[in-house]
Amino acid sequence: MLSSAMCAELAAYEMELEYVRLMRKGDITGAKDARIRQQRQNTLTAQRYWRAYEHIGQAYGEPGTMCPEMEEGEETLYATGLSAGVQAFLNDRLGGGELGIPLAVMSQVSRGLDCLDSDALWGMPHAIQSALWSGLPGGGPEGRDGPGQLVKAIQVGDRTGQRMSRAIAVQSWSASGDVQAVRQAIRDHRESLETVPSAPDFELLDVFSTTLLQHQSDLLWMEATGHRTPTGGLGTFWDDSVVEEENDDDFLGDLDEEGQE
Amino acid sequence: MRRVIQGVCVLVALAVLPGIAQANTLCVYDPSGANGEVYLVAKDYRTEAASWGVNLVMKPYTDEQTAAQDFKAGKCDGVLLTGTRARMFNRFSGSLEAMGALPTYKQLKKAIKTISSSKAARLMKSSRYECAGVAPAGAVLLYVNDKSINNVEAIAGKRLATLDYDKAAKYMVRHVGASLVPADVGTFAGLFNNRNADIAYAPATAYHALELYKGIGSKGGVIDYPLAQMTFQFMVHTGTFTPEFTQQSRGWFYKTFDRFAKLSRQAESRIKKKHWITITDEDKKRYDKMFQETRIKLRDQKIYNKTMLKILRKIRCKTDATRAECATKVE
Repeated sequence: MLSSAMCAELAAYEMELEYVRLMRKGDITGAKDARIRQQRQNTLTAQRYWRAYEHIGQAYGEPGTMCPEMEEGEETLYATGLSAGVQAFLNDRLGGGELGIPLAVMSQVSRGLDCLDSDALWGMPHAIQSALWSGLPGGGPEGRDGPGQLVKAIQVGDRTGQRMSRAIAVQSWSASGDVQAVRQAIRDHRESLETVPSAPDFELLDVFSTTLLQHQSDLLWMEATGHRTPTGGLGTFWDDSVVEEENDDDFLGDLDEEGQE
Repeated sequence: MRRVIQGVCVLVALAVLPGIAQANTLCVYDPSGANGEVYLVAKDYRTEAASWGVNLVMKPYTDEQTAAQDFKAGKCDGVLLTGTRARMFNRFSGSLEAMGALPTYKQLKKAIKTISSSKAARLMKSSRYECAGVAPAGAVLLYVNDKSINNVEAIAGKRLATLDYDKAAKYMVRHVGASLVPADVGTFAGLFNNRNADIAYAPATAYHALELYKGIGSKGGVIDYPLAQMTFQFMVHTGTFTPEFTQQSRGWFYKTFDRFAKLSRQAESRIKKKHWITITDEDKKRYDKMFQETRIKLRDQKIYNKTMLKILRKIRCKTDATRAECATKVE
């Protein structure tokens, strides 16, 4: 269920990019149509994520009420199930609230994540919590440092090769309009990919984190240039200053007098 | 000469190309930023505005004060924020949130329709700022940590978490003899949930998002008589946009009424049944009297706009002509 929701979400991303592209082009009717298609796709995505979240509830009890007993390895399932609740809510909202997924899910998930050892799960539980809190006036529960927790979660992800924490952080920064933070995180991600390979058993999640970041990068590129991130260009931006690299070999130095034939 | 003409042609062509046309900045306050309901509706607005020939670039703000400051400083051509904050830019539209003035969504819808009509356009504009649209943000409810705080008299002496930039609320707190606990949007829920305030006020969405049910505990509840109607208002600098555009814009916002109201109703319907405190008709009348006294006082202090209060009184009297105020017409 989770992977089918992820597929549906990727299709919604394409429609979002199409909306941005057409708006930029000045094709307003086309843009409106793309937006409606995106909203429908978001609703479908929300349905699928919601089912995944419900399954977690059926298997482990209502999240946030008590911490379930879990066998070894089930924590990953529980964490991704909880994150499905957040994705269901957000996608429903993007889709115009057709399903009416209650806001209370967010606090349920936030409490449920406290049942997990964040460091053992690549920092993901803390990253999700921080992102949830950043959307609340006051920034979440008293005594908890959301932004600090997020930075640590990203470091854990980088160290272990499962970088969903950064993807979650970028979505949160993008929501709050911090474009510089988004751009820096995309650059950092590129650097991390080059130095730390994906965690062998959790490659799907790590690859999905890159897909999420790729989408954020594509949105920025599309707004600015009308096309998505160039192939191999993740971590670069259209307005990067071209640094004149020092050229030790001066092949042009002695051509002055030769002229054209 | 030919080069000059060619240059002019290129400039004209650049100006009419939609992708290159000069954009106006639309700043949007939403506690959830670009993931929030308000921002998403603003995105639809942006699309619609493009079809009216106006290119808007959106910027999310999770802090309302910063959004208001940036708008004031000219960094935003338009800003979408709550009516309480909007009152500093436009007293007329900001007074739509006057205390106790509109107990129902039906009345609020009528009020927004009235002020969004072209006949009311001159009222929506001051020399510096114009209100280019209003949408509902939810009935403001009173949350108490003890069910016995169910009438005006019982509020006296209780600690009430109050938004410190809201002059009207500060006056009311003093008027009813409550003790003011200064708060902002980020702190009021914590104050209430941690028992540092006995009373808080907010739309039903805060009950869920900020877990106000924690502060309600086993003894408290939510009073089922709205204090006011919270709104989202779209403010622009007068003269930045054409009168045709701002009029179209007000019409568009009015059309979103049901979409926004649905969210508020949904949040209200999800408040636990046991938490609702139903107050008697007699107590409602006492609340009404207290609200009216407060409104008049705030009108005289030039916090509320008198024309708006008059319109709101007419709307209340249209719904129920037997109200005493319909004969006395003091507002």
